[in-house]
Amino acid sequence: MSNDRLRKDIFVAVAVFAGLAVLPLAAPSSYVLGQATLFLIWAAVVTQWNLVLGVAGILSIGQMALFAAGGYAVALLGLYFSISPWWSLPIAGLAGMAVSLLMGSATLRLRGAYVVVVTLAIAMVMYQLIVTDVECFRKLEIACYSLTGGARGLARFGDFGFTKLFGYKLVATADYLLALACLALGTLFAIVVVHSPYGRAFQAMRDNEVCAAARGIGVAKYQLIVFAAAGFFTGLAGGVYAGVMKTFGPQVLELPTLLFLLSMMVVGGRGRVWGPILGTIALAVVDESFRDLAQWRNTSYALVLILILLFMPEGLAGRLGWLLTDLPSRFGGLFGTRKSTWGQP
Amino acid sequence: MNASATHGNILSVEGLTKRYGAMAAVSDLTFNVKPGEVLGIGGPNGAGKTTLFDTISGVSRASAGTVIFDGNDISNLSAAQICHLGIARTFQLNAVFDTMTVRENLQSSAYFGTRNRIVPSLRFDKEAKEQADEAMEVTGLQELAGTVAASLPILQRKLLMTASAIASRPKLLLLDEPVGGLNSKEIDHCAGVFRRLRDYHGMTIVLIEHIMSFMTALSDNVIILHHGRKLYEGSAKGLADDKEVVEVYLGTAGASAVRAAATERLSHGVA
Amino acid sequence: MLILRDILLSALTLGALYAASSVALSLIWGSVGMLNLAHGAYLAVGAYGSLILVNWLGFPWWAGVIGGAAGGMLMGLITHVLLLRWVFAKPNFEINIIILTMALSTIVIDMINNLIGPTSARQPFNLDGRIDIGGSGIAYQTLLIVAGCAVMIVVLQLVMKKTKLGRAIRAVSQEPTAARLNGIPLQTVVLKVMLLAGFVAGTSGVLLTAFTTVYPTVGLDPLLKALIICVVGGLGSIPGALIAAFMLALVEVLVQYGLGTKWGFPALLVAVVFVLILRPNGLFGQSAQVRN
Repeated sequence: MSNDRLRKDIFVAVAVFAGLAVLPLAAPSSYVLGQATLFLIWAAVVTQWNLVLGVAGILSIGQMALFAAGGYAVALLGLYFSISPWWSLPIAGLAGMAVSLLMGSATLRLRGAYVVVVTLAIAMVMYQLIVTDVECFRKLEIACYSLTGGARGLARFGDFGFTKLFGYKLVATADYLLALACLALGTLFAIVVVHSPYGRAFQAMRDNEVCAAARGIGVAKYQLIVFAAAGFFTGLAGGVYAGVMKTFGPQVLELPTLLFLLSMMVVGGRGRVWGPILGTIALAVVDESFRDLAQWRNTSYALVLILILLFMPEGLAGRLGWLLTDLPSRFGGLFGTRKSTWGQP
Repeated sequence: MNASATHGNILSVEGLTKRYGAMAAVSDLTFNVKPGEVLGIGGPNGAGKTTLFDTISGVSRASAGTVIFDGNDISNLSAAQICHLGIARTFQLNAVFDTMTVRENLQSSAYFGTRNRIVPSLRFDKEAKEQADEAMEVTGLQELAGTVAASLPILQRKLLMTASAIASRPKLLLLDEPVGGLNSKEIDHCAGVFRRLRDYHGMTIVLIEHIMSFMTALSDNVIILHHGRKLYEGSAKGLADDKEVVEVYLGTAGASAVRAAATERLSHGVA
Repeated sequence: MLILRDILLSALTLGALYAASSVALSLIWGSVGMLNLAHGAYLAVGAYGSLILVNWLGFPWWAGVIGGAAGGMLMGLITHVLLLRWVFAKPNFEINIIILTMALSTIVIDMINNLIGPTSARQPFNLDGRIDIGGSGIAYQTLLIVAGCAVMIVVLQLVMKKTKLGRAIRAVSQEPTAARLNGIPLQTVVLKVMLLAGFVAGTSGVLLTAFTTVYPTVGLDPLLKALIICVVGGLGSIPGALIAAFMLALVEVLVQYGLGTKWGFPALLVAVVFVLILRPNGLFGQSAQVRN
């Protein structure tokens, strides 16, 4: 049962990622490739967030703090110790995990809205500490830079060295493939977890916490596990972002970023394996359509988010699953026939 | 721990008190349960029945008193630890894992409920699957194995809750209003399930119920709670003859129904 | 001694600001059970309402408060009609309304940015000066805010305790189902709560910005502080929020004095986490009696 769905989800994942991997062969412009790279990284973040919020039902909205922890780990290690992002990526993951565990422990006894407030506050404190960091830490000629780069962020801390390896022309492709690998790793991990007893424990917590405890599930332990796992992969994504963008600043911690990622998750379908990827595709389309109306960009995300939440709260993954069960003759063999649980853990 | 007090008892509750602010929902309650016994707990709303279950099962902590289960003092253990020791409970509302299928519900309950999984594996083990199948069989839910719990009708949800509880093969089962809200036909069906648990599986059961005929028909002994205290403790048969119980809780009509049910129980025993 | 007095005065000022920021948030949570992340937008619209009425339309300066209240009520109306009524008392209400109000907040801030402009403006008040208490003193601004806040809270308490609407709100917040069965029209009461809270938030928005400047994201910082204050006080408890406002203001001022300005907010967070570890439902919050 569960094994069938595990195998099916992995099969679909491998097919999807293989498809995405050959996309650069179509020779898209470097703009398209750059945007795609960015969206792959966002998808990686949302996939992990979905584990915490969608699957385990913990209302954490401070997820970007984990991303920032990973990004700053790569940037700071590169800047002050000249460590290549390749080496600092695992440290980025561990940094994300550390912040995530901190967040998870601070909210262990809290419920609902209290979790929202504390996780948001942690991310905002991180933001304010970075933005107000103006003390002179190092001097370059006459300019003065603070430890974290303050509101301007950090730059010139080294990258993945793709220019040297593949030549200038293939840098965008290599960045794209690296982001894809990051997403694939996180997604496969999420799929395996969701179909394992761990996923059932998370789901039990979400459905009924008191009942979960009475059935022998140590709720605190599984909350920390899901925070640790999500923290690691989110930090990793942050590290990849820093290495690919070659700059990292506190803007990722601002509310519009949060709203953007939240839209991806809700539009895709909370708590569903394929939600984050479907949501990313949808938001990429929205983003492209509003390119000429840059000043209304956030409004466009917000509107899509509101409309989907009001009229299709189960998201694209939920809706598509429902469609597919209505076309069992065509897709039944591939996607299973169980009603409306497609893509759901 | 006083060995003589717990001797021969699977559950000993001593001086149990649970206060919410100034109000004591359960006060200084003492009783024992012997292995294989079915103990019914009744009483008016707000008598402290569910609070009693909450404190025994570790959902909330007692203000005073001790609970000894199977030789272990469980007064200060967490709900999960108590479950691992072998007490499983159900809830008054239909608490199951709504987004899981029946089978997933039972496998999760069996896997996590049997013992503390320090590092869970990536698959449910064979043992958990067998226990889940067994629980499904006892409650007659096999046909619905693949149905998502949220879409089950009320009787099946109630049965699923019982099945989840027994999936971890507990030594003691606490049932909180297992037939509340069901019609008489459904109640009979459930009674059959619980009787099977008692007679063939030798399960020790403590159950809370308002439907007195069901309770007396199933229970060996009965406790009636009133304002968190014991109003009556004794055989199901004696219940209808106790003046105070009839006055506070049963009423004369209720008393005759209980008498009838108790007689029926005896005839069941013979048959 | 002088330092101590200065610290206490600053804490009082800050506490009054915090209290003014938090009341409406606490009211909405307490009666509708919704965490209003658009609260910052309510404050901003209130502040701009005052600006528009006085600076653009030429009303006298005291009409600013009316403009603020009207702006806040408009936000309350919009929230209810477009968002709240569709998800209230439905599954996942708690998280859905948080997401929806966050989105609403973004849209409102975008609209102010694009339609009015991102530059900051000043409220049309002129109340400079201060009462002197041997060297340092209390600015009139502080007194105005404290007085305004006090009036607001007293009126609010009267509404909640003495009026029919107040009784209905309390009934709905305690037992929505029972309230509905007793003939209280749920949606109407919720709408009234949102209008009342909008009124309070809009007025707070004017008070908060009375002597600073007004800009599109002016409400975000008060929102964050208000969230923390309400959580410490116990979500939904207005007295709790008031006490927490002054307590946290004192903590913040002390830390800022001892360690430097930038550590004020992080110290607040640490204080919050400690309070919540000891009391997961805040200082005065009731632990919801979940029946299983």
